[in-house]
Amino acid sequence: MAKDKKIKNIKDVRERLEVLYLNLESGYVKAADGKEMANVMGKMMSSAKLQLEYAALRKDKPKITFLEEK
Amino acid sequence: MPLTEEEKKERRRANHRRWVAANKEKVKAYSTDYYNANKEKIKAKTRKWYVENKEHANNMSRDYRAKNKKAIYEKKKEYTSANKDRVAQWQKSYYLDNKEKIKARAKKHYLDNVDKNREIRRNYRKENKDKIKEINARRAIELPDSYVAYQLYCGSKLTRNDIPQSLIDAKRAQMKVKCLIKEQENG
Repeated sequence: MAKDKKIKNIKDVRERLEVLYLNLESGYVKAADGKEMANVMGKMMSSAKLQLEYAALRKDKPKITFLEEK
Repeated sequence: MPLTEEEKKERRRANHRRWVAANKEKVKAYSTDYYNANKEKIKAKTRKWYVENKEHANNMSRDYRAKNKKAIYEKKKEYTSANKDRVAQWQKSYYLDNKEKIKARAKKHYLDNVDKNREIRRNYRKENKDKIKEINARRAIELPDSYVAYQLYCGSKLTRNDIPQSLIDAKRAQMKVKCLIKEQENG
């Protein structure tokens, strides 16, 4: 996966995390840096979760493109 | 004094009962042969009687079940353990054919017995603390969908059904990374 590829959806987030896991295991990435990267991914997921909560409160069926795996 | 008709009848009945008790095997053999030779006729007769006396038949069954609960349970247990595969197959096909009905029944039972169920769960947790701890520890390693989804919806207004699979997968990847980082930090 190219380093400068933008994160467009949740699938990219998952792929980045999987690569991060491998890099941490091999020692290519330090624990401190990995922690920050994982936190950033977590924040992205939290923002998507917030959209889901908002839709749930409005009793709406959300169409969140970020959560679609295309 | 000569016997009345009723007394004669009763004496004949008593003699017959005595004879049957003394010749059980003979009677059983005869009954089996008679049944095998007249199966369809007997079934038709029984069916006809059942249709004409449904309420009476159901009452008889109900009374029998109430008086013989233990024996019925033991027999059922014996049959189930002797025919595990057959029973499992039957249960699976019954579930597939009646999914909605079963779910509706289970939901109704749950809603009718909320306090009772709460008490049952509370007692289970009290009595099985170690087992629950073990299960939770295993789930924290295996990270099944239900566990990961719970981490997402816990403490929010969301329910399990609101969480899409893609989010669960991403969260699982993040949890694995965090776990690895923790291991590395702790050495």
